[in-house]
Amino acid sequence: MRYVVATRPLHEGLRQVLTQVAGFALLVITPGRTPPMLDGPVAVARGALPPIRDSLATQPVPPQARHHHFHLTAAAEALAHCLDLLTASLRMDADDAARDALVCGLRGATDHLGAATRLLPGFEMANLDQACCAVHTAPRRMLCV
Amino acid sequence: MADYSIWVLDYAAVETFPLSVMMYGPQYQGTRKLPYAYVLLKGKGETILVDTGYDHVKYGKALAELYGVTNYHGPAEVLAECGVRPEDVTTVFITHAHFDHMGAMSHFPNAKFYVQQREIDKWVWALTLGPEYRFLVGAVDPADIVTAVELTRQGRMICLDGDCDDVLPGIDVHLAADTHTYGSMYVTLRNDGARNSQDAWVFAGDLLYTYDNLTGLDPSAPQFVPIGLAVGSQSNLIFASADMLRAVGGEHKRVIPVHEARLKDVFPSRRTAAGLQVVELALAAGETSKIR
Repeated sequence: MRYVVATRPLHEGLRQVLTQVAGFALLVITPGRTPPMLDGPVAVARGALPPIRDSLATQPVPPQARHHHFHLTAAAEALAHCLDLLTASLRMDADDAARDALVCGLRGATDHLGAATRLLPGFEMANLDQACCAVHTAPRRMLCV
Repeated sequence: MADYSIWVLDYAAVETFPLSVMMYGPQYQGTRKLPYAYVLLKGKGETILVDTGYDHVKYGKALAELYGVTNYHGPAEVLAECGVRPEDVTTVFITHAHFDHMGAMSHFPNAKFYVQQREIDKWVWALTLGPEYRFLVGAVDPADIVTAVELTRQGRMICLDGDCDDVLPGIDVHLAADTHTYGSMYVTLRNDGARNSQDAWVFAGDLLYTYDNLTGLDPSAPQFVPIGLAVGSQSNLIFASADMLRAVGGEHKRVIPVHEARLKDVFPSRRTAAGLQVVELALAAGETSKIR
């Protein structure tokens, strides 16, 4: 329980970074468009990762949460790599290989974060609270933070 | 004879959904059933969906337990009611980037996907605003965006810039900026192929939840009433509603809200063995009815 309470905000932070990086990547690789000015937003996303990684590194992990912690940590590492790949893709001379690597990196980060959501309750990939189906009811969350 | 056959296919539902979310304003007006559905079009050698629904593997349990979404059935089973397989789908129009409209893109391996560029651009902008603004980016799954990235890299996701006529023969898309989402679009089908069509249909995505968004609740004093969930403005929703109604010559029933449970009462329909509705709006030449 203590582990879940401590890591849910970290998971949410990673989810937000993944969402941002995926969105930036979509803008970068859409053909026929000049790569947008994303240096600032990318820097903000990059700045969000170190505190999350530090917290994960120092988080006590009970045995039953080790698999979950592995995937969260792997997602954080993958996202750091994705940010490097995204920065490389923003260069005017970026080639297809850089963009392909970015796409693969995003899939890897998504798969790790998705695996984490399936291992313990209370971790979701989408904030369903704003979905039309959720507007009418306060979610009956299995764990309260 | 129509160029395209048209069906609205339910895949899930919330049995008791407050009218006060479907129509902004009136409170304590009771509840209605809120089906989840997508539109299937067949014609001109194309098999087309308007939206994909959500992915039950990812969300079904959470939606069922937390929000009362029931009776989910996947695309393979739902489309089979019309003799279609997911791999037969050639084109998907994504009306907006919410998870329940683009969450199942990976189920359609042979489809091209169309979405508004503004939907992506403004959504990415909203992501940079910080967590206190998260209402503006709710209901979006990063995994769906990663899928969109992969599809774009494969050349299978096409971002449209505003209104586009004849994306496919007889099928236009229209941007409804800053409404339900920043770049929501609706799809117009001119089913006689004519520019000034006498057989037009509009597939409204989530710009409407019910026919009552077009008329209000007082038959003696009709008015547009916006939906109750939006990141854009009520004015824009109202003007988009007017545009959609104008596109079908004022014939309300031709503006299709997929969340409208009464579609089955307005058009021929049948209930499947799984308890889902198949609503048949039109049949193209040579197409057999899927409700008889």
